Amino acid sequence: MKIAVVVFPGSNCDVDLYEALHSVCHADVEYVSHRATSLAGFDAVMLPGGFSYGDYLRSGAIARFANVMPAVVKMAQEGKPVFGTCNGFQILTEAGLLPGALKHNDSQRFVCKTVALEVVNNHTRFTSKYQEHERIQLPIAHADGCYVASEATLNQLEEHHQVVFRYADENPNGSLRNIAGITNERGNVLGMMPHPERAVESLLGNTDGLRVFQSLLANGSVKA
Amino acid sequence: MKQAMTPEEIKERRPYLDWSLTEKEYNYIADKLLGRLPNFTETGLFAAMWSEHCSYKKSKPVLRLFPNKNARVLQGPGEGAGVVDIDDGQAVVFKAESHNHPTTVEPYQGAATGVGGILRDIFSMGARPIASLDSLHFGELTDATMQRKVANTVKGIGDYGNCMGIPTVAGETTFDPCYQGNLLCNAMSVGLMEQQDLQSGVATGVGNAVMYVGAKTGRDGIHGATFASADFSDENATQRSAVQVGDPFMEKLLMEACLELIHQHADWLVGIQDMGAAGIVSSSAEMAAEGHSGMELNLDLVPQRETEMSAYEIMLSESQERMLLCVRRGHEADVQAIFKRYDLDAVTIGRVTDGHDYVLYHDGEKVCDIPVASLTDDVLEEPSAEREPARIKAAQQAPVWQPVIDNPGQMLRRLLAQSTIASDEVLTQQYDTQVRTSTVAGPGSDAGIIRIRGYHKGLAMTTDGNGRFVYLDPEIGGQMAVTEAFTNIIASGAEPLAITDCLNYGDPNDPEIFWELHHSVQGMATACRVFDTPVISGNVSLYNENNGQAIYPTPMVGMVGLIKNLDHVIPSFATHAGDLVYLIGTTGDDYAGSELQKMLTGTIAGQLSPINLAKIRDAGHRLHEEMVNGHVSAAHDVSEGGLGVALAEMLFDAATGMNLNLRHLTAAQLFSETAGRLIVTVPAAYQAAFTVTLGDDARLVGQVTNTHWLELHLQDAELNENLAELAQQYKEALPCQLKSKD
Repeated sequence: MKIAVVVFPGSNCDVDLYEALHSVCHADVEYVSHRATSLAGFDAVMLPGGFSYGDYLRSGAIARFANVMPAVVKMAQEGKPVFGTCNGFQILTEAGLLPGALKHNDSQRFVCKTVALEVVNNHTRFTSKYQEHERIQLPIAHADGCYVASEATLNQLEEHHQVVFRYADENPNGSLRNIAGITNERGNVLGMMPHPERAVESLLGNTDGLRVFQSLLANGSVKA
Repeated sequence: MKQAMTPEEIKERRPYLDWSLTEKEYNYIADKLLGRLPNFTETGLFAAMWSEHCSYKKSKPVLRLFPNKNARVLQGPGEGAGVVDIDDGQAVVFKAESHNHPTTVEPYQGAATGVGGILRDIFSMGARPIASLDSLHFGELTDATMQRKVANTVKGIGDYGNCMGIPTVAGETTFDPCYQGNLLCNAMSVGLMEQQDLQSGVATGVGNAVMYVGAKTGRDGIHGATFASADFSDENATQRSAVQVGDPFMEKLLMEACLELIHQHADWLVGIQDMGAAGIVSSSAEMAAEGHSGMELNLDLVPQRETEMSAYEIMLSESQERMLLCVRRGHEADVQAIFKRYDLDAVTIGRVTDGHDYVLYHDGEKVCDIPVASLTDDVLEEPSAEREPARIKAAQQAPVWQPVIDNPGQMLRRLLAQSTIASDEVLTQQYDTQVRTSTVAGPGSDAGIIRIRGYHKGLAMTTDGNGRFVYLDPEIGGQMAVTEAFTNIIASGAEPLAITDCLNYGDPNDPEIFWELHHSVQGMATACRVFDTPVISGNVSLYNENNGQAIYPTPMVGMVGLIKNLDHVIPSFATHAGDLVYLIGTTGDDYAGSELQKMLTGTIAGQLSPINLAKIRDAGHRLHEEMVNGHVSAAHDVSEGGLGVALAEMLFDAATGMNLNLRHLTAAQLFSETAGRLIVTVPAAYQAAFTVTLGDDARLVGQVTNTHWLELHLQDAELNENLAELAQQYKEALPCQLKSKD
């Protein structure tokens, strides 16, 4: 399985995603510039955290117009795995690949800490190595992480088991229904505010995020 | 464009006095250096380049006291940042810089651009920044203005560093009335590089291009350097135009473009320097001076975002996110192509010339023609008068303050809620501490620890400074600042390498302030020699006064240490019940300048005890040996609030407690702040080996327990406190004090 990590001009967790896949999971992974117009040859694509174009406007609002985005949309339509964490999640919602939007945290502050999550759905290609309702700890680091959507959309997300992660103890940003990560209806696009790529090595004190990548690598060839 | 005044008008009306150039300096420039009257532009350039911020004219004689070499130092002071060998062909690059005046006037932008400036210093050397630290000193949180200043300063640091993707991993925050009208914002950056990539701020080779890269030039920050070199008063409290505005996204692009150029095309590049204080003039003149070259610039070619800018404004603008390069003739287009891919301007604005003259053209006219060295090397250095402040003598005769404490538990609870001691998690959680996924230890530990990818080694880093001690005794206070950094680095399991500093003082023209500067630097230098931690870079911030009231002399020490094997990282938390608890260093009756004294008496007074630096060093080295042997499970340095606070801090984030026999200490001594002490835990199996190595330096006082209680048996009192309750005090104090009361 060959994975693309997209690098926008202001991406800054691109190295973290790349190293989690390359050094820790020994996966076949390559950086792809935001200028690229094709993702041919890749089996999955990941959008990293950061501040894609400075994000002085709404986070991800400019990134959705990047040259690489039509190729990302195409992969999503083909049912290939598309993953976005933090700024990547924001871009996926701006691009319409995931429903809802991410607003400024209700605290009005950037927050970096480790929070408890519940794995709500372990039947996705990104979470199959977790137990259902398993509690894990993952780092968050964002200013715009408050997930919002219409009541109808929220109900739909729950009916179709699209809510994958929920904040378990405290809700750090005001997200509706404590939502921390969702998939599209087909289940091949995952967006999440927490950073699993920051929790893959015991040296750094946490390995709870490792199974996101291991799940994906194990399920690489499985059609969604 | 015509000059705003003729040379004769300048001589007569003396506008330079407002730019902090003295009449004596002006006359020296006209009579001795130029042999003619300088024009308006030239006078402005002299005022900026001869400011303390750029020239260090007041502090230079004192800075010469610092040691700045040892076998590991590859680059000492004088370049963008200092460089230290960390084996394997790699080097660590670090420097600290103050942004006190801008942050006082406009906390958000002041703090943000402080971070931006220090990052440019690091990547201009060829290093990638891997971690940031800060040292913040605020006034008391008694009014809404200071609460807002704290919130905005922290937001400024966070927004800039978070967007750049550089983790902020350590720092300190203190509160004292002396910073009410002039707060201190010191930022430190640490970078990593291959030694072969080392760059220099130099321009050589006649005909080589002087290229301007990065953001466009505007009118922001004009005279920032002179602004930083004059006192505050209510009259000039609205000097907004001297504050710059930051754009971290632009800086991220600039960093990636510069690093690509340096790492892949070093042969195109002769030199590179950040346009920091005093913008284009300081970077270009310093690069020319370093290369013993002449330089000619055409200011019409400088990318500008405002119209009708004068030569004076273009040269002195401190617009952010700009760099100056010296590029080999013929490679201008190649360099341009790299920067174009990052959507950045890269423009050839001049050439290196034969001779030694600094020549500027603007609007088709020659607006400046002076020797390069007159700006950089010929600065009039005048000996400063010094006088010991009366308070120092008075303190020697005053009765010693000896606290009496009946209920140490209650005292501990109160101390844990003091704003300087209380948990600053509410602030540090606004910094991304983990981006780049190499943070082994972040805020809350004795030192931040960053691993180096591809190796099993890491770097430990800390910032420390305590103005109260330096105020009471500059010499010993200076030693204490370095000592605290040393013990923090030792506690983390690292070998101390070197330091950077920010020297924050009042107006050096006041002989008492200059005496403080001189003697505290003397103290720091002595400690640096004993610990073999040379000063490889730094920054001086003088004139930190408000309405004639100076801050405490507050030197900040930023120390970096090397962890050769990451298996030997030592946590600050005691997590293993049954481990033995040792105290390293002797506790005396050191209450002068302590948090206890400030809390109970509302002020600080008294004399500091001399420090035995060699004893602290030797104990530190022996402790390090035992850490490398794997015999130490946790270590924490003892600082503000003394042993009582340090013991509690070691247990807050663990489920454990401690039961200690401290019969050799009084309840008051539990809060004494004797320098150079550590608390260490050792698994029982290693007791014998540990005792043999440490000998008399370590005293066994008890055990880590599996109840979350702190139980201390003192000479004259007992302490038995629930750590969960103490932790609540410790964690809730600052958020509560930061809430606006109006």
